[in-house]
Amino acid sequence: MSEEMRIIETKPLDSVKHCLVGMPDTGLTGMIAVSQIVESMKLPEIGHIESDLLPPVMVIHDGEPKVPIRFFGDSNLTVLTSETPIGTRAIAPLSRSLTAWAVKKKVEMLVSVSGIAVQNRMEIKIPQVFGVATNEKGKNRLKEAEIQVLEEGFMVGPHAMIVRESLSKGLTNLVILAQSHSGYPDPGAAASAINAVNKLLNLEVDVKKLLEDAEGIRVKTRELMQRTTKSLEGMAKTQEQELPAMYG
Amino acid sequence: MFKSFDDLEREIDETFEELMSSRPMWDSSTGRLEPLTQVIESLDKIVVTMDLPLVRKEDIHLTIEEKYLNLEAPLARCVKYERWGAHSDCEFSSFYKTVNLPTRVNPDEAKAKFLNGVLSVELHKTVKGKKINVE
Repeated sequence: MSEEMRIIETKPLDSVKHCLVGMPDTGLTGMIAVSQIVESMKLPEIGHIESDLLPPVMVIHDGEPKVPIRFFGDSNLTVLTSETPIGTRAIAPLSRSLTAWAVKKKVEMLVSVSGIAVQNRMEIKIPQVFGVATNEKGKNRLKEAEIQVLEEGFMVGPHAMIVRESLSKGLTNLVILAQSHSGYPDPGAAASAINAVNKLLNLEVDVKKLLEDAEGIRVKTRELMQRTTKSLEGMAKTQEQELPAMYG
Repeated sequence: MFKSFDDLEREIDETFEELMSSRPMWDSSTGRLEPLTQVIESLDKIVVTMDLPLVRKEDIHLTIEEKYLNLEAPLARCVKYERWGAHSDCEFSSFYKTVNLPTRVNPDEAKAKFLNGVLSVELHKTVKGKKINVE
């Protein structure tokens, strides 16, 4: 495991069946989606990630200081999320540590949730969801869950590095990408992503409350979105919206 | 090399924007929040979009001058932040933002639409690129 990133398990688990990851990224889609899943399933906090490469930030909840990148869940489903954007320097070490941890915990499926920016998002009522898988097993799961495979494009950010590390370690990693605003928090995209995750992992997370609270969430996540947008600027994130060079 | 007045003006605007972006996106003394904003510039147009959750179309007050766009919009319900930091309860009741435009526009040709809580304002540049023949 990378020495630069330390996964601290406050409630250690012998094995984990499924692991879900949602970091601040395009439209905060992944972070909003997995936070909703944690809240809805009342998943307990079971650990966190420490590193000198992460911003010197602690968050305080109910008077208790917390590390911003935390694990929630149990041996059936573990969720990793962050309350602060992951800077460029931390992404590769974080992905290495997370995938090494997933191999050690015999994770059957590592699922990253994120958004994929579309220019006409304000005209789309129900965002479509696309999937990327690192192996045949993952592709079959996408097919069974009726999630359309992303045929061409770029991925930039934490989920892209997790794919790279999963490929090298032979880990089944799926990326769920919901059509999203690029620079505005998008609970609607998060709801579409949750519906896809429900099918993929046989969960029953209701998105009704998320959609009812959508406008309040958009107001209260403006600053995190702004900070995330700045963080993504250093990662050539706009490449995701470029037309691919069709020479492959 | 000398910079044109427009270039200098643009640099000052960018520096100002950078300074403004490092300050909080709220002001508890006025109860105003700053909306997330994107400015996209093309050859002859500038499109400004703003995320305006909890805002009704009929409440949006938008004014456009040659170099500025000004928005004020009350929220349909107040947003409260309880137990946050060293502040006691904070309550916000409107969005407010002045956008410095990267170049001059014609306010009379501006078009705005509001869809799913996102405002989009299309502005036409006053000085457009001159078309030249390619030999």
